[in-house]
Amino acid sequence: MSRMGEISAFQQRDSHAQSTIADLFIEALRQGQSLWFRVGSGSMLPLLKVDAQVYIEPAPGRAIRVGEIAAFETPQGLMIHRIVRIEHTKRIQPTRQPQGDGSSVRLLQMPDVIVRPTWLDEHTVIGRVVAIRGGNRHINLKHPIAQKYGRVTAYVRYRLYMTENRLLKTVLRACSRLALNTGCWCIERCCLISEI
Amino acid sequence: MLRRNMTILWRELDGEAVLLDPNAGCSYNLNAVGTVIWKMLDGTHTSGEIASAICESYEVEYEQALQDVEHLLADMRTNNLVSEVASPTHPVA
Repeated sequence: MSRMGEISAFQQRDSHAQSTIADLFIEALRQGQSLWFRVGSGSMLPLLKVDAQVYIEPAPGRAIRVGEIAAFETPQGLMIHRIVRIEHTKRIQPTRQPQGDGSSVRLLQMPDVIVRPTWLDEHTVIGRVVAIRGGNRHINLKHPIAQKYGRVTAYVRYRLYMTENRLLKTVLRACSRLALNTGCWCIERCCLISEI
Repeated sequence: MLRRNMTILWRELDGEAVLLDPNAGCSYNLNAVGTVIWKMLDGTHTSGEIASAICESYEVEYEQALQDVEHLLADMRTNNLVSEVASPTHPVA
């Protein structure tokens, strides 16, 4: 006979419940709470494997740097992708603004496996990935090697997106793969920590 | 007595609670009775009081309700969803 009060590990059986969980993750980050988040897709391979867990620290869009993996809100829930470009726009105001500097920031996010970027408004960005755990291993993405890897990857992938020259595109695609794979190999060996 | 862990975020969805433990990255579902129990975990109700409240709303014997409540609370403790609160002590004159 089953018990009356039962608790079960959350199962993604219901899209309504799934969106509630996504809302809770977003709420936690908006409240300034760091959290562990399970990677649900292979869009950030080879670094972020499906079912690995990433540690997300709350951070506003303006604090994110090129190369970092940002956490941002989408209609589908919380998503984590690399920021490959940041643009600052200064608004020219006819009158003096009492608050703020009148500028805005937008961030170009791109998965590591496909060249399909989209611009994000700074207010949709709510955090950054700072660590990965899979099995007994913890990887620190604040390590200088990991940060360099992020910047190089972002640079190559942004160039890959921008170029229209077919030959250059082929070369950049190969460079992107090389940067992702060798960088990931280095990070997995040099940026280990015992625990968060 | 037990109290809901303050770090646990939760929402009620069609009478069933969805819980998120941000520190562990784990989420949980509670069924309708589990949700009633969860809502009473404010550090002021004993297992017996919770079981009595369940008996008022559901057709179940007190002993059975108490056993189920104790089981659920043990599961919640294992998953760090609740924490122990010291029982209130009465001042002695």
